[in-house]
Amino acid sequence: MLNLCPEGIRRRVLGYLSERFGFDVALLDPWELYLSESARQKVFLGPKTVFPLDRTDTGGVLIARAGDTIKPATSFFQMFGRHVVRNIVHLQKDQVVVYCAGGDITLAPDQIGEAKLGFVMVAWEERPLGCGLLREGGVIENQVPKANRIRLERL
Amino acid sequence: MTDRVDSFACRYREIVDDYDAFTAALVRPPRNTFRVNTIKATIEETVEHFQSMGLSLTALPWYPEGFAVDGADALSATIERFLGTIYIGEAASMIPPLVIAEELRAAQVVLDACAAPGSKTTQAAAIMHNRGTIVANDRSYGRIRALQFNVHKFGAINTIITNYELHRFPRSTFDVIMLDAPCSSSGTVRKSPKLIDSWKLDVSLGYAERQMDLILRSFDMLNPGGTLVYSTCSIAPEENEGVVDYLLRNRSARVVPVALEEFRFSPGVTQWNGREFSPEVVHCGRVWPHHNDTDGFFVAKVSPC
Repeated sequence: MLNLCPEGIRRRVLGYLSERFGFDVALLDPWELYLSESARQKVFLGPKTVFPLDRTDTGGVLIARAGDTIKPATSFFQMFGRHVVRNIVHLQKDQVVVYCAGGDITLAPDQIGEAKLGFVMVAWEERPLGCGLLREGGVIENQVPKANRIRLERL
Repeated sequence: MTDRVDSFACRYREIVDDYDAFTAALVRPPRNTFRVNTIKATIEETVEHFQSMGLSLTALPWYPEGFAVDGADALSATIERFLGTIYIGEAASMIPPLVIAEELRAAQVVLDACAAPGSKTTQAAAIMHNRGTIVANDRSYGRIRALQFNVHKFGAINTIITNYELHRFPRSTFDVIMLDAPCSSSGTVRKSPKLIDSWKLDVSLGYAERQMDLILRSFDMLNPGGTLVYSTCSIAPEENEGVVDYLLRNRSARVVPVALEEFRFSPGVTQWNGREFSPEVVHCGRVWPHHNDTDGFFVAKVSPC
């Protein structure tokens, strides 16, 4: 069942997206934030609707998990990544193949740029690809959900 | 033509315009088609990238977002598939949201009554620019997971998902309802040649019973002035014109002519195996595989009188 996102979680998630990624959260105004019933505190972006929420199974697009730390979702970056302005890591072509297949990547120093440790948006050219976790040593820990992974045969 | 193809196709001999072309199309492999998901990408950037990879695209003349591509597996391992910027699917299945595009853009609330795995839901979301609300329903909990996956992947933000038998659906009304009904799939023999041997009239009639229930229930959930689009991937009149005729006999409804620029529909049949259907079913759209190089398909637009 969908539940409206409690105000405290809503503020935490939107504040995080704004502060860490420079994302203009007003872009989400046409829609509503919802919270899943699961323990994983999934925050979805869905329609402002008059349909009774207690009759729903789920809906919208996952934008983040709001546990102890906020984790942005790959689906958020794929939808809104063109409006992200910082903490972006650009991959080379061969790294894109590894990333899309679910592999971790060690970045060259010049690829890290001004990105800070923590969750980053991974991109290729102008395309936002998804979420990664930037660790010490320039390692991007892959955050692409297993079901979304794919072995690219051409790029 | 082989005997087995003829034994499948011969029941349509009286209602198809060119029987030889029809049977030849049935044994031709289907084209690999996709639509650009304009929620996430533009047509131009998608085409440009495919061309840079050396893929040969052919635009579908009746759908600016639709393309066919050479090579059986050309699309399955691309960055576009990873990103959800293309939806791979048979061209004919893209028709229902297109024939109600205007109604979708004006709608506040839309029901996709048998939504999984989500091809029409996500296409409708793109047409609606993610505004309004789509209630994507499917009776099968297992198929709901696939629907949810596609709603996420293709960015259908305006979609909520429900899991009801349609006759138990909560009391609600909608501006637009899409009913892509479960069917015998007799229009999909190009993709599934085994159907040529396995299709049986009894099976088709069994589906027709269910389709008649579904179309009445769906129609009853329409707002005044609303639109129901009924579709199947069957070419059997029992599952198509026969079902629309049943609706017309039991509700105050009218059939709105279907049209799509550059796409060839054949009119619905008004006589079949000794049965007379309402003259109004002529406004339904029958899709023969040889006319547009697609699967066989059927679509009807219905509104309350």
